[in-house]
This record gives sequence, C-alpha cells and structure tokens, in this order.
Amino acid sequence: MKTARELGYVGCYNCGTVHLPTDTTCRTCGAGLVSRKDNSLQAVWAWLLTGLIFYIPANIYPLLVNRVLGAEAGHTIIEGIIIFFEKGDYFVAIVIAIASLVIPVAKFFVIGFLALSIHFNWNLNAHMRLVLYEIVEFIGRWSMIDVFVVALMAGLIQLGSLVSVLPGAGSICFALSVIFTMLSAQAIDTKSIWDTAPKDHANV
Amino acid sequence: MSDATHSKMDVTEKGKGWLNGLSLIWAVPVVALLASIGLIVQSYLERDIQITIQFPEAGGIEAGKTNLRYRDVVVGTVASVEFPDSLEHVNVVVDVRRDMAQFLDQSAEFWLVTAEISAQGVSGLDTLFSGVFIQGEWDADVGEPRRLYIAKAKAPIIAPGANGIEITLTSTESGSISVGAPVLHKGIQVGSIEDVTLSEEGGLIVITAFVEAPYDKLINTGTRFWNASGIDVNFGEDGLNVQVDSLSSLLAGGVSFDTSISGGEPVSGTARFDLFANEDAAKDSLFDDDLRATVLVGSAFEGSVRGLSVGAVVEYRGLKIGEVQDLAVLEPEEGQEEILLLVSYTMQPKRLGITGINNPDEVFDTLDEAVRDFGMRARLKPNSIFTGGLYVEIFEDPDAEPAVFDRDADPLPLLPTVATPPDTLRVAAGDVMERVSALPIEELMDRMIELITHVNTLVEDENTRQIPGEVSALLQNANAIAGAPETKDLTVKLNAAISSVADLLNEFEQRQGIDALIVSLENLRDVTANVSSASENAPGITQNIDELIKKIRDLPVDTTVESVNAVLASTDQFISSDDTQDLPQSLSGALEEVRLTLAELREGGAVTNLNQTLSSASNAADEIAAAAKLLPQLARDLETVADTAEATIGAYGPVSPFNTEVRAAVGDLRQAVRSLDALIKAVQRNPNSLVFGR
Repeated sequence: MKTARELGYVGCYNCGTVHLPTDTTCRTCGAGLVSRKDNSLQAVWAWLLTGLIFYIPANIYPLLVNRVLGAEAGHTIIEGIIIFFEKGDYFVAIVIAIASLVIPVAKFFVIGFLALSIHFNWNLNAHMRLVLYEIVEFIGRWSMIDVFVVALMAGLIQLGSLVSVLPGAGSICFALSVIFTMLSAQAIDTKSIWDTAPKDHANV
Repeated sequence: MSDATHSKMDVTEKGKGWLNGLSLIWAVPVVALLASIGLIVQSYLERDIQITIQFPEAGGIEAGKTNLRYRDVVVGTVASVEFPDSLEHVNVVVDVRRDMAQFLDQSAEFWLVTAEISAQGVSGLDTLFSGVFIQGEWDADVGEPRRLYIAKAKAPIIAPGANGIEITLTSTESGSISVGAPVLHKGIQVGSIEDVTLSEEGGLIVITAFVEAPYDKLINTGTRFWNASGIDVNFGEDGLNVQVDSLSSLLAGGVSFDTSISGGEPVSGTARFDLFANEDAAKDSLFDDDLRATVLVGSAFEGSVRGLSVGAVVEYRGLKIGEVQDLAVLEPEEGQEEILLLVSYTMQPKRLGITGINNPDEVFDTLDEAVRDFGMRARLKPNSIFTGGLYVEIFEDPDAEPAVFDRDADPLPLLPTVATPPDTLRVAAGDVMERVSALPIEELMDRMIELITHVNTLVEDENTRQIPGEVSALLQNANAIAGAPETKDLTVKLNAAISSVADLLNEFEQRQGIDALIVSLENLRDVTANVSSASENAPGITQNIDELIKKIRDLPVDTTVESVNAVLASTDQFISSDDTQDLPQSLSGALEEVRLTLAELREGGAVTNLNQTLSSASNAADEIAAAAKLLPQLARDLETVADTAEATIGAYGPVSPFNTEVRAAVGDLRQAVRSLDALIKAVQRNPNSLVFGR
C-alpha cells in the first residue's frame, strides 16, 4: 500500500480525490490542495502543551464550591473521588476517576505518542495508530462530562444562603484543558502516520 | 512500484530550522503558561499566613470548616488541628488572609465562640447552625508579627481598643460578683467586671473591672466602690434598711461606685481600689484616708467587758477612730489582786487630729500629752440598749484623777481608763431588756386586733356612749341584788317557809275538822284561781272546787269526804295532765305539794281543823310557788347582768383598773348565780325537801 504522496500525487483532505502535484484546487470539491499540512505537528504539540498547562490548576483548584449556610467548602477532582470512594459510592468514584483522570491523562499520552511517532518516523503499525487516534478523537468529548455536571449543579442548586453550588476555578481550567486536548487531537495530520510506514514496503 | 514515479515529487522533509518553521500556534501555550505563572505568582503573593492558636480543648473546631472571624468577617479557616508532642493542649493551625496577617501582633486575641446562655443573656446563637468559630480581635497597628497565640478561655468583656479605664478592686470576699457583672454608677451601667481572681497569696479577691468612656472621668482617688450584689438588708439602730441596686446585679452581682468627696485626683494606669461590702461601709470609709496608718494601744478595764467584741467601734466624741482588735486578761502585776481585762484597739491618729506622723512614737507622745494635760481616758459605753453591746469611748475629762499614758506597758501601751460601773451599766441595760422581753407583745397584738374589732362594733352602736353609765348602774343593781337583805334572807325565808309547812302539817294532823276543810278548800280555790290566772286550762277545776265547797257546806261529813276525794281526784288529774306539766315547774312543784297535802289529808281521813291547816298549807304553797317563781327570774337577771358586764369588759380591754373591779364584781355575781342555780335545781329536783326538810 502506497500513499498518494509516495506515488507523486496529492490527495484532497476534504474528499480524498487524487490530483497531480501541480493542481492547487480540488476539481471535485473545490478545496485547496496540499500534500501534507505545514507545521501540523507543531500545532499538535502546542495545543497539547496548553491542555497540559491547564490540566495542572484543574486538579489543584476545586472543581466546584458548595456553600452551606455561609460556610464554603470546595473539592478538587481527586478529593471528590476520594470522598465518593470513602462513602462507598464506588461506581460514581470510578466513573469520575475514569472521566476526569484516566481519560485526560491517557489522551495526553496517546496524542504525545502519536506526535512522537510521526515526528521520529517510528516504524510502527500505521493502522493500529489510526485506530488509536480515532478512539482518542471519539472519547475526547466525554471528558467534558465533569464540566457538564458542574454546570448542571451550579445551575440547579441555588438556594440562596442556605445551600448553593458554584463552579470553582478548577472546572474552568478543566474545561480549557479538555478543549485544548481536543484541538491537539484534531491537529494531528493522520496522513502523516502513513508517511513512515510504506518505507518497509518500498524496500520489499 | 517503480512505475508510479513518473511525476515524482520531493517527499523528503525540507530541512527547516527550528525558528524558521515556528508556527504562530505556539503563542497559545505561551499565553496559557504565562497566565498560569501569573496565577501562581498571585496565589503565592496572596497566600494565607498560617498562625497557630493553642486551645485547651478544640470544642467543635474542624479543620477546613471552622472559620476565623474578625468583626464577624471570615478572615481565615482552620487548616488543621494538631497535638503538640506533650499533648498539653490543642494546636489549631489557621490560614489567615494575608492582608490581615500584618496586624497579627501582640495585640491580637483569639477565643472560641459557642452558643452560651448566662445571666447576662444569650450569645452566639448563630453558632448553633454554622458551628463554632474562632473570633479574633486585634488593633490596626502593625506590630511585630507573631504566629503563635494562646487562646483566651472566654471572650473578653471589653473589646480591645475600647476607650475607658481599667481598674482593679480588692476585696476579702467576692460577694457573688461574677465576670460580666455590671459596674454601676447611680444605678446605670457604666462598665463591666472583666475578671475575678484570687490573689496569689490567696487572701484577697482581685476583681478587674472596666469603666467605659466617658464615665471613666468619674473615677478619681476619692471614688469608693462597693459590692452591689443582691439585697442588702440591715437592721440596726436606725431601723430596717433594705437596698437593691438593680435587678441584674441581683442576679449576676455587681459593683457600684460613687465619688462623694471632691478634690480626688485623677487616676492613671490601672488604679487600685478597695471594694467595700456595702454602700454604708464605702461611705464610712470616705473619712479614713488611710486605714493602714493606725497605732495599736490598749486599755485595762476593771470588771466585766461583756458585750464588747472584737471589731467593736472606738469612738472619740462620736467619731469612729478605730476598732477593737483583741480582748484578753492583762497579766496581773505583783501584789495586784484585781484582775484587769486588756482591750486592745487600733487608733487612727489622723482622726484625732494628729497629722504628719512618721512613726508610732510620735503618736504616743501626743497621746501622752493628751492624757496628762487634758485628761484623755478610755471607758466602755453601751452601744444600744437593744443589742447590749459595748464600745470604747475615748473622751477627755479635765477633772479626772491624774493618770499617765503607760507607753512601756507590756504588751501594749496602755491608755488609762475610767472605771465604768459595769454592774450599773449591765443592770440598767438588763432591766430594760427584761422589761422589754417581758412585754407580752404577741398577746398585746392579739388584744389590739380584738379591741379594734370591738371598738368598731361599739362605735357603730348608738348605745355605746351610754355604756359606762349603764355599766355602773348595772353593777350597782347587781350589787344591790346580791347584797340586798331580801336576797340574803331568801334561804332563811325558804327555811322558814319549810318549817312553817312542817308546823302546819303537824297542826293539821292534830286539828281535824270539816270547817277547816271548807276553808281550806276555799283557799284551795283561791290557789287554783291563781293557777288559772297563769294557765287558761284550769277553770274547770275552779268550778269543781266551787261546787265542792257548796257541796261541803250542804252535805254531811261522809259525803264531804267523798266529794273531797273527787276534788282530789280531779286535782290529781289536773296536775298530771300534760298542760299542767307545761306550767312552770316551780308551780307544778307547789301543786304537787298541795296534792300531797290533800292526799295525806285524805289518807288521814280526819277533818278536824282542816280549814286552818289547809289555809296554812295553802299559804306555804303560795310562798313556795312565789319563791320558786322568783328564783329563776333572779338567776336569769343575774346571769344577764354578768353577761353584759363581761361583754363590756371585753370591749374595754384587759388592763384598766376599772376592769379589774368590774371583773371582781362579775365574779361575785356569777358566784351568786351559781348558788341560786343550785338552790333552784334542788327545789326543782325535790320540792319535798323544802317542805319536809329532806
């Protein structure tokens, strides 16, 4: 299997139609034609870094603040998980742990791994990497579940001075982190994955 | 697949440099990073200051929940609650807002606020919902920072920085003064008690009080404080004295003050005052500038000092100059027979007009002079006839026998005394006391109440004014009745009557005759007529008797006797009839006599001199009946007299000479009535005894 690039053609990013390298616009869909996006890896790294930066305060600052009779109490993500775990709500604790901890961290690693593999032209199974990428892309949006929960609670539980729930600084950072991670994932030029793999076949 | 290389393009990466190919996208993480760093720097700059507050126990303090408040604004949160290695107390670590941290210096104070109910009110109710919190107070001066504090056990009564003056009061007893109790001036609260402690030596109660501005100006060296707790009830020479300063001081105790003398100097710093037991003591003390400047002297008294106690007053011309300290027996000197009692007492030289004294010797000099030149002496005087107490009076008697102030005496310098005849004193006091105690006060009170009731009823009675006259008249009457020869002769008369009846009967037995019987029957008719006048039921008898008389006149003796029998039968029937029974018993007694007489006459069967006999018998019966009639009436009269007299006496009360006389008279009266009663009863019980002397 060869890529269009290896064969001296340019595949449209939008519709996949193959063109000659001299063409600048797709004759099918009219989109601009480039063989590979410039600086796509840089964008990946930049978004990933930003997401990582926001992930730190997202875990330091409380995700939500509940105010009971004027006494404020905030809990960070990890505190929340611990509280639920101690209460015996293992299911909720696991859900939160997966959504807020495992998935974001896994995403950082996966995106980082993909970017690295592209950058250093690691000779790996390109197909598997594409599947990995698609999983990351798909699952990325579910990381926002925490933010949704916070937004819902802050909107619903507003009983004045008795009990009220406010979004904490952590929730904003977490949301930003998720957004930037998703951007990072989208910035990955999936075609680049294939740029390295065919070398084996070429030599065969 | 070499065939696909017809339009081979360069697939190798361009050899770009790092900077050349640098995308603008990198601005995003840079901005994010800068923002994060900025956030971190800000957090660092605004980071909480940790202070540690030591509590004896962490009543309800929870890490992360319990707040630190300053003026009811949350300025910090408890970070952790820890124990020191020694486990002596609880270390509460508090994160305090950085902007407040600079003020946390020496002036800061912390205490735990919980719901509290006390005599001063209810406080900290909000902690029931929000949980306890730590309250902090500090001033706005930035001082040397301090990070370790020891919490106060209680909220300070006075907020730090409040204007006013703090004073220290010392007392020998706390008198139920509690922390937070009011400091009163003329009944208005002008401050509070901050602290009540025992002095380290344990002898004194040290009370710290705070008087708020502007009332602090009222305090000067002439101010006197006294205990205003509860009710002060005093029963003294000047009568009953009850004082209550305020209701809250009644509950929580309190301290009152007043500045009665002018010219006191303003006090500065923490002024120290004595706390007097009550207002009177405080006012009294206004005259002693310095209680401590006293000299101790003694006086040897002859005789008894009973009634003199430690603490008794030493007076000079009515002015208190000291107190009795001790009572002891003075060791007799050799050859001395009489045992003297040593009374030692304090004297305040200032009160004696001796000023500018530096040591007691100078005072003794002056006393020496006074004793020699002016005749200064000590004597015992009774305090009050009610208490029987004594006090020591220092007085000057220029005519006193020469004496010296024995300043070298052992154990005390001795002020000469004037012998107070203690017996006279005691007897006089004792007599008064005895007389007072002998007064039947309670009885008197009862009598008074009774008297008042009687007087009320009497006054309303129109006859009241005539009573005295009536009473004397009555008494005269009574006396007349009791003392009348008739009354006295009554028994004699009765005896005479009885004997005459007896004679009559004797005669009757001897002289029998039909004529006498007729006369007798005529008399009997008269008697019966008398009876009939008293009773309407008797006319039939009278007629019978009349008929009988006629028959007797017309008929021979045999039939007469039968007729007499018939008369007797009818008379008998009459007497035994119910109606007759209702007649006065005395009368029926008389009739009984008649019946008996007639029965005897019938049994005897003799009629000789009957008329005479019957006449006599009838007279006797009449007399007896009259007497018997008179007797109950007399008894009733006397009884009435006695009752009226007693009532009058009751109204007059027990202790007048008039009463005594009246009582005696009434007693006599009653005696007479009793005798009469006995007589009447005897007559009624057995009328025969009168007639037959049995």
